[in-house]
Amino acid sequence: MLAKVNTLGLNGIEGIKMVLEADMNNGLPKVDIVGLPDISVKESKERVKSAIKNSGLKFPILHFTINLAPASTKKQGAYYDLPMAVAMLICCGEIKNNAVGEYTFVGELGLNGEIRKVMGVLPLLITARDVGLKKVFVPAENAKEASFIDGIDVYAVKSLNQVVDFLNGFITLTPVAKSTFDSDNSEEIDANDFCFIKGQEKAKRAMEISAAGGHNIMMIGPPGAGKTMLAKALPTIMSEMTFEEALEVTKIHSISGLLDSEQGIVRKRPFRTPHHTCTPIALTGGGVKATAGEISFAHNGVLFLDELPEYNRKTLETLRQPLEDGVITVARAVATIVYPAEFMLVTSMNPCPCGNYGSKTRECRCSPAQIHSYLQKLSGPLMDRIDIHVEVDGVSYEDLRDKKASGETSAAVRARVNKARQIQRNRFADSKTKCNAKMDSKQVAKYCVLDEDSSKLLKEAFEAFNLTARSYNRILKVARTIADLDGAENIGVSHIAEALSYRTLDKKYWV
Amino acid sequence: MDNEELFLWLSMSDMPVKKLYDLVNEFDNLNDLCQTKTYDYRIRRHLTKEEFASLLSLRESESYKKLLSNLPRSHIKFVTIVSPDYPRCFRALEVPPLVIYYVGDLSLLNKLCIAIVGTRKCTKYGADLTEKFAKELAIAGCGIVSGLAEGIDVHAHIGALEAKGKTIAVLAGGLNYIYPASNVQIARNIIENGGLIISELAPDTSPQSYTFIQRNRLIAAASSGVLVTEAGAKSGAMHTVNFALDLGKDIFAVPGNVTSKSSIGTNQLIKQFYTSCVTGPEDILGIIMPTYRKEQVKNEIKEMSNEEKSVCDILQDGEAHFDEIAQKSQINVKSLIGLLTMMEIRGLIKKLPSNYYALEE
Repeated sequence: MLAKVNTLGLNGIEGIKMVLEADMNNGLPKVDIVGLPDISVKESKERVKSAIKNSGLKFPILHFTINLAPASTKKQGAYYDLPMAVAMLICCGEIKNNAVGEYTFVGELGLNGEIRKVMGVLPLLITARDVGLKKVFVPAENAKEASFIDGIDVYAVKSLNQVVDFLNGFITLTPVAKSTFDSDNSEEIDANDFCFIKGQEKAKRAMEISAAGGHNIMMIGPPGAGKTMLAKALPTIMSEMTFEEALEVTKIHSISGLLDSEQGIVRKRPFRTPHHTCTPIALTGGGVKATAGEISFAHNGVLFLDELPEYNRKTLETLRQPLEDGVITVARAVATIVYPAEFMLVTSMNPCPCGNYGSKTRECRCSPAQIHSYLQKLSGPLMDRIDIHVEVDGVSYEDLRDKKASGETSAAVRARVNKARQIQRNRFADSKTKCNAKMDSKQVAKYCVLDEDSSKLLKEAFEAFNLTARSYNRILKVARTIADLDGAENIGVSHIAEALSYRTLDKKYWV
Repeated sequence: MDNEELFLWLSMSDMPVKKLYDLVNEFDNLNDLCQTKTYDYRIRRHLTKEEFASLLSLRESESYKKLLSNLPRSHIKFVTIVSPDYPRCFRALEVPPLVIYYVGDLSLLNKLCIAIVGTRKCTKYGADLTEKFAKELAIAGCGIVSGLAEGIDVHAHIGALEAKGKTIAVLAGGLNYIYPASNVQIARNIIENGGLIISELAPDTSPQSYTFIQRNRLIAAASSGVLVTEAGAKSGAMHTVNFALDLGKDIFAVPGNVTSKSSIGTNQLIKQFYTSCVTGPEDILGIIMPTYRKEQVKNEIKEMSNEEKSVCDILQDGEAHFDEIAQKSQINVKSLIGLLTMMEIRGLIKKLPSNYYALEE
């Protein structure tokens, strides 16, 4: 007897509709799985066998052939346990339901018959909806995640028996209630809120500008100056994620198993901090299964590289293309997958190997040659993509004790950032560009027009600070964002002057 | 072989110069030494048989012949102890160099010069001070002598060059070995500016640890005074100071932060010779050029806005941190960032590392 059920599989971050067929024949008792299954799929027959037996159902001692279609796509993961069990039970008559074709099944089985959560339910359901599947069974633990997809009935199930009883009409199940998306704008103050950062006025302002214009930022300062704290506070002042953005982020987090099943969707902008021993593959994605990397996990959020010169140079160079394109194409033998990677790069470094160069309290013992080679590790092309450099300095004990925190909360800063972002959305309404940082040279020429005073100032500054030509466009873009924060139509002298102060590394303070 | 060649030959040997002098003094007629092949009594008094053999083989060696053939065509010139142009200042040394190789204007050595020396691992404080001293002294007409090493040395040359002044670099290796190589451009600038680079070693000799110390005696001899701007406890600059003391030259030292390791040496000097303490170029000029009067540059009174004035008032007491300026001036942060940058462009203030600001002098 032949049975056919619908299921879903993953290819990169997109789901694919699949059909699982089971055929029961006379012959030696065995289960053969065909249709390019990988090891994890082949193993599922053992789980299915035990799950059926331990659910108190009959597993016939016959030969089964399982086919996964389309046969040309490689299958991986434990998504097919549940559909396989259902198909086999239909074959041997344990499930009697003529309308089983209406349903779609996804889920991993435990040996005792329980249904366990799988990764990537969100992209699977989006595909299911798009190809017109109406009713989908997912593991109960994935229910929250599934509840964000409209236009589809999702049944969250805990055990194989529940599915069998439902299909046989013994019990009824209600579809999972839909959740509405509300971005994380709770009044509750986050531990990383801006109002907890003492002093650092200049760095905080730089953070605000970079959040407003999507500018990549570099913080330079001695150890313990608060660079990491500032970086962590950045997501709290960035504009809230829209539902579409949140879905994109959740997709990636879901397929990679990073999703919190309680939450079901990523509400906060991601903040990723890969360690500096991180390999190029871990950063960009890849490996045997062409999985996503840190830059994709940081999509729509922040990628924070602490102690930038400590990273392997090769690792850093891989960032150049995604920083430009906003996507990364991971090509491996199994698949070629395009992962989104639109992140804000936030980096920090010490001014010298010992970290105390320029400090008032601690002494730097680095030779000029050491400092030179330390800075040399950062390649020009990478530094070219970082618009804002800001110095963060050590806070002394007295400062910590006496200085009251500036009092401004992240919410207040975020309100200004949102306003500036709105101006940018209007400006780039009919182009692909999303923010000032991503303007191409044509757009810079169009939107960053300088009046006479400003261009005179810029010219003087180039002479006084010995700036390089490559920093010219950066300064204009940052000045544009500062003007947007000000609500100003045109870039003025004060905007240029402020933008100039964020080019520390160009000015060669170091020996 | 004439006398000049004789000294070139001897200068290539790595024997102590003192020994070579004794040998030369033994011969009434230097020609005899040029011709000598036998290990006779005059030589036996000063050299072992092996030393003499190596000296003789040196005369036949490739490197010596190469030196002789290259020197006339090279930009490198030389004077020997017997030539009339030999710098007078070096004759005062206990063991003057047999030969001085040089590029540039040798007559600078007869002028008033100040040596500026110090640690290789200088701090920003040391580097800034050195440039300031070198600049002011060069403007006053002093030659600036230093060793073209990294750290204080190179900043001394840079300071002098900024003032378009004359500066003398005394190398520890041969003139074809600028060490460290990153200073080659500065060496070029020194020559273009009418300065001088000298060495007592043949042009292709690489510097050795002991040649750095020997070089320091030339720095001390070439100058009327030695200024130490920043030196740690065991800095090579202390050798220069000792040589200068032996030669009866003036010693100057700039006090540093007592907790700074880079200033232990200078502070120690001040403890030993309290008269050496100087805090500005005028202190040195007052001693070595008492008649010098600084040209009074009329300070253009720059028009300043109220905000700029208040920032200048705050900085009057010394450098201040960004947050401090913001707090005292009550200017909001975003305007202040722009304001400070503009003041920096106008040359009113300067930015220091770690968000500190100071008045531009």
